[in-house]
Amino acid sequence: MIEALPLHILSAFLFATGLAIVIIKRNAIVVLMGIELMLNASNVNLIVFNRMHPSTFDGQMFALFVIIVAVCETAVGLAIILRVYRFYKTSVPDHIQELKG
Amino acid sequence: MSSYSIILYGFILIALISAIGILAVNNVFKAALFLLTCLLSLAAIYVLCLAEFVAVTQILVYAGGVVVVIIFGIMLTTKLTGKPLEVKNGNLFPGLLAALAFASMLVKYQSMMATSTAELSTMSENLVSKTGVELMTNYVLPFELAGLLLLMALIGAAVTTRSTPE
Amino acid sequence: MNLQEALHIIEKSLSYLYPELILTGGILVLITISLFKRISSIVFSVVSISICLATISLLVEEGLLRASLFSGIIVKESFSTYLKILANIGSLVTCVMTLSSNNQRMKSAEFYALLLTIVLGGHFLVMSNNLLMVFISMEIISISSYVLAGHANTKEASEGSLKYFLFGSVASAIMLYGFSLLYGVTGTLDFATEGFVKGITEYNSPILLIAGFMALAGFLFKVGAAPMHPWAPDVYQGASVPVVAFLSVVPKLAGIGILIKFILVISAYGQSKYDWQAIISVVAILTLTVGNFSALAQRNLKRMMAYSSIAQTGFLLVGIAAYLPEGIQFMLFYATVYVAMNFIVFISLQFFEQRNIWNTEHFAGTGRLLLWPSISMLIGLIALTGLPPTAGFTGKLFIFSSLWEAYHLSEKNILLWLFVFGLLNTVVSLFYYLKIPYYAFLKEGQSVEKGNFNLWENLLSLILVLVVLGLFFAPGLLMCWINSVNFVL
Repeated sequence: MIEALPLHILSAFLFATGLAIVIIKRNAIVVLMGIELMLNASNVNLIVFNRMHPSTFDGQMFALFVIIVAVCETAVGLAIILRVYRFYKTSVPDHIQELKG
Repeated sequence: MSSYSIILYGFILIALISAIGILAVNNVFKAALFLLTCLLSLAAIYVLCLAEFVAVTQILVYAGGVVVVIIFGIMLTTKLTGKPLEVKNGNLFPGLLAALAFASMLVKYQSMMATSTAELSTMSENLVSKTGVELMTNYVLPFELAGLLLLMALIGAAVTTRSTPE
Repeated sequence: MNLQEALHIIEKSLSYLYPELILTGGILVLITISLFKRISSIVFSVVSISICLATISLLVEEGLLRASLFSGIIVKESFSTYLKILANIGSLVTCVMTLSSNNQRMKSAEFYALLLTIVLGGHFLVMSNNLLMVFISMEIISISSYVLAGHANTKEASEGSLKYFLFGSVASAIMLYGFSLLYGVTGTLDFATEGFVKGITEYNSPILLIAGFMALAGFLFKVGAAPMHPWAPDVYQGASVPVVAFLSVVPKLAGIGILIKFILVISAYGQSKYDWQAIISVVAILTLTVGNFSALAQRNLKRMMAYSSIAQTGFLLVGIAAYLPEGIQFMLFYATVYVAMNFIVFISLQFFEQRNIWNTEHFAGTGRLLLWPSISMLIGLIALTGLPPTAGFTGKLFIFSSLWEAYHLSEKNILLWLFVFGLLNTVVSLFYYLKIPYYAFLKEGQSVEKGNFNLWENLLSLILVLVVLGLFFAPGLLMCWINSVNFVL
């Protein structure tokens, strides 16, 4: 017997926490962690909903692909952060303000 | 309350606390460790939801790959400046407000969807082979595209970090 | 379904995917070549040949009405084929633009491989009929775009690409959450099936609205519409001109293509309780206003073009908001013209930037000394404003007439507001678009060396200018073709 309600609450809170991290934290790497949390919240959702619609495998498959995409995003993202670091010597987005208009 | 529920609730609690931990601590490295805990407990939850294959992928790829890469990133960036790993907060109120709004809205309406509970037995048999067959039949196109995506991410990351200006 | 049947479906579906297979082959050949020899002429010819071949194979099967491939996760129809041809043309023009770039990184094999990947992702995005396909092809476009935006490897480019990355990842995470909710409501990922529409009409909860908005966030980010637009100015200012020209066309068109499908489906073809037509109209009003009014204050030309492209997205959204088959056809016409006029401006922009002219004041006096580039820029900007005798005028006329018709059919006030705001914004855009020709031709300024386009730039601008002017005098030529495009899910 699986209880869906706490899992829904978990995913909602994970998403909200991820969003809060993205908005509040002033460090690109921590923002990246927040994004990972948001993606994981969706994954929890997908897997729980797959249990509600068990005739197909869609939810679990989607979750697998989300993990793949998250890996790519992290790899490219960290590469970009590292390069910005070389130019600016900081990973605090607020200090990176050459472009204005 | 069955032992199953106790375990499930336990892991949910760990995941939530470690997620809030990322928000609460000001040390990047500690935040990464909290992320690791969160991801591992999510893997456990996936096992309890009978998504073993996703759980294994989560541990191998997410916890084993992504978190390690993130920790590498932290090491490299802190080494360049020699500054401590402290993170500052900003936009505290708008951030918390948005998070609270989203959380309450989602909890309120999403919990309405938690109606039926599915049978356990229908999905549990031969999960791995089923996953493999699905990946190579119905999902073969996204599967191949994911391969392309990984290749381009690899090339992109290499191009981005190449230091010698041409 | 047994394995034999499934393999048969895959085999059959692959025979419809020649353009995409050609592009993939091009990417792989490029990567392999760059391991051994880094000769830019070979690399360039591989890219252009693969794009040309893909376009030809698209044109060959243009008459195809509808084919559902890979058990329905992608669907090939003439609407997506049209957008794919536009995307291919855009990428071909970008490739030719890189020839006259003075940054060697713009000619590397990796650059072209990333470019082709974005085109490939765009192809799959406009064909997608499945949330998973939408997500993965959108991510292919996004992740390659983040790298491309910073490819110039300057301080500004890196900053732009970091902002693009952070903003884009958050947008796609929000979109993914919306998708997961939609999956929960309907129980299927194939959004063109009856089950999906039935799920949306029968499920009575605001969660649908929330899920729709969250998914919309990702799409609006991709097309660069308000309120998901703040990445655009920084990315445009930092990246090199060919990249900017490319990013303002190909991902945008692909995003528009999928946005139309998504809006139709989420509103359950008009059956939904929530008025998605009004929502998209509000988004269009917001996008038009934000784009045009922010552009007024810009002095940097690339930033201005960023806001201009936001505003142009607004006009494309007007075509969607009309919610009529004609609206979509006129939107396609406008999109075609947009590709041409946008590239005209960016080709001259690249030319000017190589001579260190990027602020409006720098343009003073350039009209006489750099005559042809200035004239081509003037035509491009007039077209973007929507003045005759350019096809920009025809496109705007078409789009607003379909909106007017939609207003008469549905009697919704919001459409009237959209109409009024659209016209007002056209007037506003006059001020910033024509500021540059004003400086160039009517003001005296510091002396710049006399100069002209090189051969490629000349040829390209001439063709594009002819297209923009020709479509004003004979819009029927293109409309004939577009009328044969029918939009089925």
